Amino acid sequence: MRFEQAGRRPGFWAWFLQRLSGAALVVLLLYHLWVQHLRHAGESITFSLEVRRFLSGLYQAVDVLLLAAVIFHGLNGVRNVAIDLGARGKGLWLVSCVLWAAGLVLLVWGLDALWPFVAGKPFFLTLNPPGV
Amino acid sequence: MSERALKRRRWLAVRGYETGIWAYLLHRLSGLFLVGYLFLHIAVISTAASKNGRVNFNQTLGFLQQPFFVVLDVLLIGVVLYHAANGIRVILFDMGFLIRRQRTVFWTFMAGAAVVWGYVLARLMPLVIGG
Repeated sequence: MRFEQAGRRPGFWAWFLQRLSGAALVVLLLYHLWVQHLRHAGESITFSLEVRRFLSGLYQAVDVLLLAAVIFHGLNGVRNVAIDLGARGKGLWLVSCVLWAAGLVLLVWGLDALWPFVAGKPFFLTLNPPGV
Repeated sequence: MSERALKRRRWLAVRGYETGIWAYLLHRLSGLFLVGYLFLHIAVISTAASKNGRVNFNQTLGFLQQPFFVVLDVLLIGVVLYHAANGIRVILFDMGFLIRRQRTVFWTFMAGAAVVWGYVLARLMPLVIGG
């Protein structure tokens, strides 16, 4: 009940989702770093190694969720900085629009990198499909 | 409290509070830094992986695995660990836990982050020194 009331206050969802995505990132990002840099530290990172890593459904899911969570968390964080620096009203709206645009670009760009490994075929920007 | 200490405290009291102001500032700065790195990371990996295919990916990633870049990786992970540890602390306080022990909790989390960073150093520095 208190949660529902809080949900109608302006800024509640930006605040709540920042905490939720942050908590998710602790797990997702540390798993990403562990797989890519620590589990087999020193293993040379190559295209075929990445194809092998992405055969894991868990790693696929983690990286796609990580992409979405990190874009939201990072850009909403920039918006929080803008608010702390005094952005309100029209200025804040403009900042939000720029950040939404940047977020969409990052999402498409990031999916373009992940898609060949996850789906086994190129995303629409991709020129060369991966092989094992 | 001396006049000078009072002055210093007032200077630190941004937006009406002083406890954890450095934690707050570092959180913001590390966050902005990490957003910058996010753009770079997505641009580099996406360009290497999907635009130019396997040959270019191996070339780019080979270049970025030289000892100099491993040192940057270790420093980057340090920034991530600070931001993560301080972020968990912020969530705990938002949920109402341990608010009366802010300073202790902060340094406990910093110690935890330092231990994890020590593990990262132990794993990755051999690639720099022994490479």
